[in-house]
Order: sequence, then structure tokens, then C-alpha cells
Amino acid sequence: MQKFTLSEDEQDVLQELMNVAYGNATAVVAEMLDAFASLSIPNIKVMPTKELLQTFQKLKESSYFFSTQAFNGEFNGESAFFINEKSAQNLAKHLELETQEDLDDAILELTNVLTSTLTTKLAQEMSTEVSFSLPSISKIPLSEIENIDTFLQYSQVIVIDTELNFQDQKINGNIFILTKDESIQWLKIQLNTILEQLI
Amino acid sequence: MAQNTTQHNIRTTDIDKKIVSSIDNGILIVDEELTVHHYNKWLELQTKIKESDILGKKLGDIFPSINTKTLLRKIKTALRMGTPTFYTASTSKYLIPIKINQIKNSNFTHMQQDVSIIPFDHEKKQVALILTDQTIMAQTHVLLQENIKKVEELNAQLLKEKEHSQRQHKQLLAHSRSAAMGEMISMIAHQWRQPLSLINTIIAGLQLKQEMQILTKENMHSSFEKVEKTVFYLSETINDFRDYFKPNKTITEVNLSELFNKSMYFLTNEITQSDIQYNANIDTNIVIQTYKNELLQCIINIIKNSLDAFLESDIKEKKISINAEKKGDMIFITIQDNAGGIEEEILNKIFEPYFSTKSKNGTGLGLYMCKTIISEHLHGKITVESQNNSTTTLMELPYKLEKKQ
Repeated sequence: MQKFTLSEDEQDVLQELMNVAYGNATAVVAEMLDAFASLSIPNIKVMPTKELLQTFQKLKESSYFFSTQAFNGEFNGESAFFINEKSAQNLAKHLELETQEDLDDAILELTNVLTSTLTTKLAQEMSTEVSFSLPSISKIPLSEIENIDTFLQYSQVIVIDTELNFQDQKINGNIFILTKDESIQWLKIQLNTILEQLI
Repeated sequence: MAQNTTQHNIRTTDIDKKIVSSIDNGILIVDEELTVHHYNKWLELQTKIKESDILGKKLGDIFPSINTKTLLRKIKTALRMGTPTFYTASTSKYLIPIKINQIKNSNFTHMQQDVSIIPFDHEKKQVALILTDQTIMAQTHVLLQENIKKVEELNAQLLKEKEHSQRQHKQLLAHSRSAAMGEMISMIAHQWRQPLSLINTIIAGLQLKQEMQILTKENMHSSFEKVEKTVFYLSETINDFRDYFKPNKTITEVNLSELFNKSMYFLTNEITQSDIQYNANIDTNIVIQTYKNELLQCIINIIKNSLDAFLESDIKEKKISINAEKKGDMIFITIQDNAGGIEEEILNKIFEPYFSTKSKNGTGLGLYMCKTIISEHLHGKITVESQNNSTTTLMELPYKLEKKQ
């Protein structure tokens, strides 16, 4: 169990890296949406999948859109993005989207931007690369969350939770980066290498 | 070394070109102004536009259906991130309008596409758009959705029918209970006929003696005692019926032989009147765990059916035989009569509600209720066989019923 949890130091380094990655993500999202955007300081937690599914269940109750995207490489896994209905409406208003399809596309784009910027930056800091496969990005109906067996492949999950704000239009989103045990082990090694370099 | 590098570059370029031109995907390169810089063979064939006719032109001018605002946003984001952005067929349908030739079995007029927008040249702000034909997948998805909808509709219909059938079943049970009540009243009437006639005779005797002026105090006292005794018997009969026709809430130990004797208590008048030979072969030691009154109701119902059948037939030596045997965890009870048998074509209908062959007073609910009680409450099985003039009802019951469902 110990090998899949992060020590305080490891968590600190990951938090720093994530802050940098989030700075990057904020800038990209702001450009993408052509609006001033800010992101709250990401809250990082490593939690067992069981706990994660309970969190998903809670999010589901407040009628969220939900999408996933896979990423591959030495650091691999899946991201899950939740955005509530009000935020989705705000996003549609801001981007002047007229159809449900356009809104779905924008949510998927936001998922992709957040996943890509976060994981790419994280990978860069750890001298590796990640790639993103298109077919894995999809909007999944909330009723099917329980049926996503793939989530059960993860025993521990890094959860990065943040809030996005666009000018006066509030758009809240929660992104979860899910990685398998071997990726967490790999991440621990990389974080420790960075820690050693700092000493 | 330099020559090797050049050769390698030429070879690589050659390979790349060949792949780009022969790959089963559309590849085009555009810049931030949406000016086309490359248009591969696949796109030429699919759109019937030559690369030479499109190079240097704006993509939005060639294909006016493209939402250039969204496309530009995706291109800028891809360039800014240095990683791909996407269109998915499931939400965006298609980017480049390509008409589908295959008319048969298609829900789409245009090819459904997944599109990856990959940063290609950062300095020139160029991206490569890679198109993948997802029409078959989309078609499968549509079919799947249609079938899911059909299954959901069928499921909803099934649930509705199930509810309807459950409601009907409840109504039938209510009717059955009323019918059983009717049977009970009819049986009480049978039981009461003789004592009532006795009371009548006693009163008539008293009246006669009074008219003849030979009525003594002793006569009156003895007559009142007889009436009192008979009224007490009438009252007891009602209590017995009430006790035995109330559904049990708990499972109790039941001596099977005693239970059949009890059934005879209710039916003996009718059996004697019809001159039927009743023979019960039950081991007096058989004690089972079950709902006593429910089982008694079934037994009475089945024997009553035999009695009614005898009323409508002209059999000389009327017989009803009972047998009970324990095999493993089960008790097998057979009730056999020689009242004429049941025709084969109606044998499989006898447990259906409102099915009756009786010329009068048949509700058609007796055997239906027996089957419901035996299968749902007593966790057993009831079957009826008929051969020659004989009908055999077999009840298979658990020796020890565990709990009520």
C-alpha cells in the first residue's frame, strides 16, 4: 500500500509541478475561450478507486456532464472531467454556441485542453512524453458511470480538483487524473529524482 | 556521413510521402488563416478536388459548411498547447463534407469523421488535419441506439403487463377468497341442516303435547336441554369453520392423518349422503411443518371437487382414496376418485381461473386457488392426472416448510 501512496515531500513536489502545469492550462484555456480565466490552486489527493467512485456518484447527483480521455506513454492513464449543467450553459453562452452538438464539442475540447496541458507539462518536467488517442475522448451519459468497468483497473487515483473562473461567468469543472499503480510507482521515482536534485 | 544523412532524409521523405499519399485517411495541412498547404490523395479521391486546385486557397471558401470559428479555435489551441485537438464524429458528425456513395443501409448522407488537429510547423503556424472515416462506427452506434430504444420500449411494455397481471392475480385471489367463503357457508348449511331439523322436531313435539295437554315440566325441561345442546353444537360448528378457514400466519407442526380427519369433519355429511366409500391410508406418525389451514383448505377443495363430480355422474361404487407417503424431504399426497375422470383436452385448463365444468355453483376458482396456495405459500406442486374413470390429484409438499415468502 505504501508504495502507491505519496509521501509529504512527494506530494509537495507534485503540487508545485501541478501549479506550473495549471498556470499553463489557464493560459491555454483563456486563449481558447478568448476570455480572462483563472484557476484555483489545484487540490491534489491520492485516493483509492472506491472512494473516487463515491465522489463520482456525488457529482452525478448535481447533474454533471462527464467526459473521459486516455493518455499514453511512461506516464499513462485516463482523465475524467465533470462540468455541471449551469457551467455548461455558461460555456455555451460565452462561445455563442447554438446547438447541443456544438456544446458537447466544446466540453470535449475543454477536457482535451485540461488533460493535455496538465499531463504534457507534468511529463515534460519528468523528461518523458505523453500522447493522446482520439477515440478515447467521448461524452459519456452520466447514467453509465457505474458501467465503466475500466475505472476498476485503477487501484489508486491521483485526483486533481480545481475550479475554473471566466470573468463574471462562472464555469466550474472538476478534473480527475486516473493512473494505474505502475504509473504511480513511476511517478514516485521521478518525483524522488527531482527531490534529490533539489537537495 | 553527410551523404548518409542526405540519403536517409531523402528515403524518409520518400517513405513519408508514399504513406501520406496511400494512407486510408485524409491528411491536409492548413495555417492559422485556413490556407491549404497540403491535400493528400485520399482527400482528392473522396472530394473529387485536385490538390493543385485547392493549394493556397482558404478551406472555408472551398467548403462553406465548415464552421471556421470553431476550427480556428481548435487550430490555435493545438498550436498553443503543442498537442492535438480533436473533432469527434459522435458530436461533430463531419468536418469536410464527403457524400456517401453507398445508399443501402445508411442513416447518413455524409461520411462521419474523427479529426485530429496536430501541430505541424510552429513557425509557420501550420497544423495537419487527419480525417478518419467513422461512418461504419456511427452507423453501428445508430443501430445500437435504435435497438436499445426498442429493448427499453419492450421492457416498459413487459413491466406494464407484469403489473397488470399482478393486479389481476390479486383480484382473482380476492374472488377466490369470496368463493371459498361461499363454499364455507354452503358447508355450514350442510352441517346445520340436521340439528336445525332436530330443533324443529323438538319444538313441534312440544307444541303437539301442549295442544294435547299432556305437556309436563319434565318434557319441557328435557326438550329445552336438547335444544340448548343442539344450539351449542351449531355455535361450535361456526367456531370450527372460522378457526380452520382463517389463514395461518405461522408455520406449525401438523399431523397429516389428523388433518384429513378434520377435513372429514366438514365433509362427512355430504360423503354419507352420497354413499361414497372413503378410504384414507395415512401413517398416523407423519407430522409435517406447514401452514395448516391453507393445506386444509386445499384438501377440502379437492375432495369437494370429487363429491361434486359424483353428483353429476352415475357411478355405482363411489370411492375416494387418500394416500400419503414421505420421500426424502418431500411428502406426496394423492387424492383419487372414480367419479368419471376428466377429458384430456380440458385437463390442462383446470388450474386456470374461472374454468369450471360444474353445471351449477362452480366459480372456477377452487383449483386455481389451490395451485396458488400450494406453489406460492406452501412451496409445493400440484398436478392432476386422469385415466379411465379415475382422477388422481397429486400434491408434493416440503416436509419442513422453512419460512413464509
